[in-house]
Amino acid sequence: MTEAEKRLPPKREIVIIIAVLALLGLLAAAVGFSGGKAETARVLVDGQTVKLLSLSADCEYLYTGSEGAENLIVVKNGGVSVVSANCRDGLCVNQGAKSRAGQSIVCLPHKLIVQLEGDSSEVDAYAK
Amino acid sequence: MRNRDYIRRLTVYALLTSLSMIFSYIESAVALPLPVPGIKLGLANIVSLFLLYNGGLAGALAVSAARCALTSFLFGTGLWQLAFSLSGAVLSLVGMYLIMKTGRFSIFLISMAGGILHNAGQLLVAFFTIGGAAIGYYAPVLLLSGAVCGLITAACARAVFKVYKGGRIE
Repeated sequence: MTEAEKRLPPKREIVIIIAVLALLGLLAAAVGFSGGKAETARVLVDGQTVKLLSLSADCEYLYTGSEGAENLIVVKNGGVSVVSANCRDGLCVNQGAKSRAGQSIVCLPHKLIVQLEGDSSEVDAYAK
Repeated sequence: MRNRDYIRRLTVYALLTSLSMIFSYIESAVALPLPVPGIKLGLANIVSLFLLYNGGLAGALAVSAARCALTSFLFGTGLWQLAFSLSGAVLSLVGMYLIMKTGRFSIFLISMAGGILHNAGQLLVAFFTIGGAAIGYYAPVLLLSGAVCGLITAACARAVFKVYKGGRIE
């Protein structure tokens, strides 16, 4: 182990580090605040749509998958959240309620995504 | 003499594998209550950095692969999780090794790149298995958290280097 390998970042590197952090931060903020109010929530499992929920009325949808996988998805006041789930980490429940188009709730153990969309035309097509 | 070196290396790798497994276990047991899934400190990266600097790429890859396999099946969800953790580990290790080999950057920049690459590897697997749009939404936040956590683990690894007197593991 040489001294050079233990050193603190030199000035040149601090500039790179701050630039990278700022760029990623801006990108994250841009994505976080983009998108208008969502109108529908699409529930995907393994990339396949299993359910479309309209956010205009409160409702509940219990997803049941193979090997007893369960996620209770609740629409309330124009937002959607996973209220309870029997997955290993419970991260989908931690993600709370989402209401902007483009946002999503992910449950990796169940390969489930609740994706919020702004356009409602597909719900009508699905309902037919 | 050769045999002795071999046994020493095997023992050190086994110890470091169990140490990184403990780090992984602690992180999976204490899930951070954040609105974004998949953010963790990546304490096992301290072990990877230690091996990259004091051993080599092969040793770091071997210990990482052993940790991923053991933790995925012991504490995780099996094959699915193995694909996730392995993709992140391999991409980050190879990237950190290449940047280290240039000899021009400190451990902080190397580890930050490693953190970003780790999460990028996981995002790639997620992109191909569960689909595009939702993953794109999380990508910037996860890459940012990878960078920040990489800097934190670099500081931890630097503290270890300061007290480590064991020489190279070869």
